Amino acid sequence: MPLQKIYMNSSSNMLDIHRFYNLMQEEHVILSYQGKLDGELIDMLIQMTDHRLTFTGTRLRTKKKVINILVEALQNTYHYIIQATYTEPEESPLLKSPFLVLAEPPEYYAIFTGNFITNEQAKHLQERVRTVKGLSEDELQQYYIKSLNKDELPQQGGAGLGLADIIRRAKHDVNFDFQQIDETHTLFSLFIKVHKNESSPSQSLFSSLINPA
Amino acid sequence: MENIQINGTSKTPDVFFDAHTGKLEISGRSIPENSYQFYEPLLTWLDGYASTPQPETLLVFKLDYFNTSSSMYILGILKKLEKLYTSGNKSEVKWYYDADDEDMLQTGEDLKQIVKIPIDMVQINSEDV
Repeated sequence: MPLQKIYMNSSSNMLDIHRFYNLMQEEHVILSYQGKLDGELIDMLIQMTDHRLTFTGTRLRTKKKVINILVEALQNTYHYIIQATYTEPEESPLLKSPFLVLAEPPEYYAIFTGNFITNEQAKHLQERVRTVKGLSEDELQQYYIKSLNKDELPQQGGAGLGLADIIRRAKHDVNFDFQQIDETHTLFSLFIKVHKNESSPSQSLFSSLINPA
Repeated sequence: MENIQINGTSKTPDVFFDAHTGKLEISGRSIPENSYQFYEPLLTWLDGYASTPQPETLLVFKLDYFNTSSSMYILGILKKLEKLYTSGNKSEVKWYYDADDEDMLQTGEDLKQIVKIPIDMVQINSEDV
């Protein structure tokens, strides 16, 4: 059942609330957020995640990977929002579109983030993603060091290092998706898995959304 | 020369740069959206320190988390110290990492590849802290 329908029916039928709860249970959702994003909200989302993972006794290395990836993914989104504030009206979908879902199936943490960007931005980003995603582990390491060791320090963001960092920390278990929504906007989304036990491959309901069989 | 002492927040690290002892320490979280704003004053301070450094300088990193833009400024700080080191001043870097934090170890190793100053990798166990 679509979430909107569940929500609309919920005032008249408590069973629908139960379905909503079951849906979150089935998808192992532990945190979700959608809407405007600023530095303070990012900070709160990070702190909530940190607390939750500490509270549930998540292994330190896994917790650190999840938090670091979340920081990079959300700050990457925020970077696009800052750009959009210069050109877009307050109600622009570019400003309101960011979302985050954090899920915890038994074997891994799933981080799902997305936001609208312009088609022009999507073109450049897609190119960069293709380059970084195609690198072997050794090549990615060299790319990372080369990108880190720039003479000029960035005054905004991480100068493109964020994507390489996410891929490296997640050991390549990252999917990027670009869906052109209309003649102006593209929905850019990221799906990242952080395995609790790195030797156990697994299937995800979320990944099937991005990579349908 | 005045010391730098900054208390950490949920996004920015504790900083204590002691011009009188030559011990410079950065610890905690470094995940600000704008790393330039936070780190630029530290880089400027290091330029001043380099003109009248202590006989020995020790730079200590004890970070829990850092974002990629911070990592570029961390490298910037290391490059300042590298200049001091290559011009003959005794300088040392200690990079602390948790035994269960492979990414923090990896970053330390990456930085070692880039700068010529010796970086001592110090393993800790957070359960013992």
